[in-house]
Amino acid sequence: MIQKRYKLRFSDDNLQESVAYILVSKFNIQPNILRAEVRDDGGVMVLEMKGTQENIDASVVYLSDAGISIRAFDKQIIKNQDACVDCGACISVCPTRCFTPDPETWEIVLNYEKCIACGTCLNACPFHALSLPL
Amino acid sequence: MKTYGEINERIRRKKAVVYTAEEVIDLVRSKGPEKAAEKVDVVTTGTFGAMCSSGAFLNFGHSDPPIRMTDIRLNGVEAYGGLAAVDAYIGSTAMRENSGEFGYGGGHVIEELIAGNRVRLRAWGPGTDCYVRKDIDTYITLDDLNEAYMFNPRNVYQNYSAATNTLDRTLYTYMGKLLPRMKNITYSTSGQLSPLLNDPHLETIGGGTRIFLGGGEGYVAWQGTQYDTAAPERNGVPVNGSRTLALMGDMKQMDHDYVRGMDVHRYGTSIAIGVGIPIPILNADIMKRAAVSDEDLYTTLVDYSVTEKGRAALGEYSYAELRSGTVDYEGHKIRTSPLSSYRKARQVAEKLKDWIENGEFLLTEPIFRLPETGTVKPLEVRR
Ligand code: SF4
Ligand code: SF4
Ligand code: SF4
Repeated sequence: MIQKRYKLRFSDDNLQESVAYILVSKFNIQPNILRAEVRDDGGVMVLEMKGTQENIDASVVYLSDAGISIRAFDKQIIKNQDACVDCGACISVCPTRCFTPDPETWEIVLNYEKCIACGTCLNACPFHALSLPL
Repeated sequence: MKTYGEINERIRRKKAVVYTAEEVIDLVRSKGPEKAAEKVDVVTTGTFGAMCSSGAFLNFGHSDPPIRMTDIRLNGVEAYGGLAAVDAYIGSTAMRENSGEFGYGGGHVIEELIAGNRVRLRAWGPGTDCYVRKDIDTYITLDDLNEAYMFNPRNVYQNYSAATNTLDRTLYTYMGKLLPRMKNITYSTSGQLSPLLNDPHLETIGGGTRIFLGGGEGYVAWQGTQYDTAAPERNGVPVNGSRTLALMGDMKQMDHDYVRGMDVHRYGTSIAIGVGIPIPILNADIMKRAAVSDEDLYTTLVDYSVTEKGRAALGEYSYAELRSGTVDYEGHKIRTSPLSSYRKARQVAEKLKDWIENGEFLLTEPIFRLPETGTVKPLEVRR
């Protein structure tokens, strides 16, 4: 079992619920909708899928065939350099260790590549420097 | 042995030898404290972290017609108006009501004023024969204010316990986000650069000591609140919260680089301030203490899921261990987060060093010594 996050862009607002249903029934995936922004003409959502690699791959193909734009949702963290004071409050809460202090300068360096967009660090930063835009 | 007068004479002639508390460690290791004390005139310290017990006195000037302000809001944050007509005190933890997802408080207002931003002032008063106006709604900037000075009743805590959480759920505390089941530890200090860890018994720091406060010049006004000398020591330095200082300084000299509002999730707002204190190297003893390093500085680890009274110490760790990123607890590796910025602490100590080297900042001999003993009494709940 693995866990992956995707950002889905859809145009039909009914699809949101049926996506979860299809994933459960057809692909034996445990879906978890983390965020959703729905407007009259469709919307965006962040979906977490738990299942085998095979089933996750198959659902991605299925969804994109159904006309939904689907992209891996990771590396999304954004840091506002002006707001960041390099305190380090974010370091120990990140599950994938994206934040590491530079041993020379004590700047807190953010490795965007490792970010799985879990959101844990957002409210750990007292300076509102971190965001995870949809 | 040197005197304040001799050191200041060298500062005036731009001949003073100044090291930061970090740079001086190696010097003392290689030369020994006696030789180093002959060479070094001043050691500069620095810290940049949360200092909740902070705020500022502001004087708005009189409008025409004038108002005696009793109820005051700055960008929606309440300022205390129980002073003369247009004097107020804004505290760092005062929070704007309904500030939504992002908390906004007194610390942010102070930061915005220092950054030169316009701040909305709304105030109400009873209306009197001499102050007829009952309300006012306008914008102010730091330049418009007659006086604006920080007066912080408790800053630069001498050491502070590190925090962890043994519960099954995440705790949001003033020591940051503490993950369940001891998944992380937070600590807040600049350690070997920290002002009161480099002069642990306040031999040179006292009432009237001139300091770096928020980018400008400030002074030690008094002992800080909850001043405590009873903490256990290791290597001659307390291992948890002990001495504190009350600091003041002119906001008009400050720089927003060194003063930042904070929003500590589910705790409230606060302020981070850069503070630097110079230590005159009068003798080898003072030199030795100012050369303390993270390997020799310890703090107590406590569990924030129990109330303060019942908090048992889970262990003692050196700041070198904590700063390494992980510490060992009963065979488990626990990840650590500093909450105060070491990069900025260093920046403060460097800046103060520059000022002294350039002859712009003279040292002051304390006008009075801070108490040699002090204990913190609890508040009893009586019926
Ligand atoms: S917690 Fe925020 S301010 Fe502190 S280092 Fe991380 S991003 Fe920067
Ligand atoms: S969103 Fe999650 S993975 Fe990404 S940086 Fe923050 S804590 Fe780390
Ligand atoms: S929470 Fe931290 S900054 Fe605030 S008063 Fe306590 S020790 Fe000081």
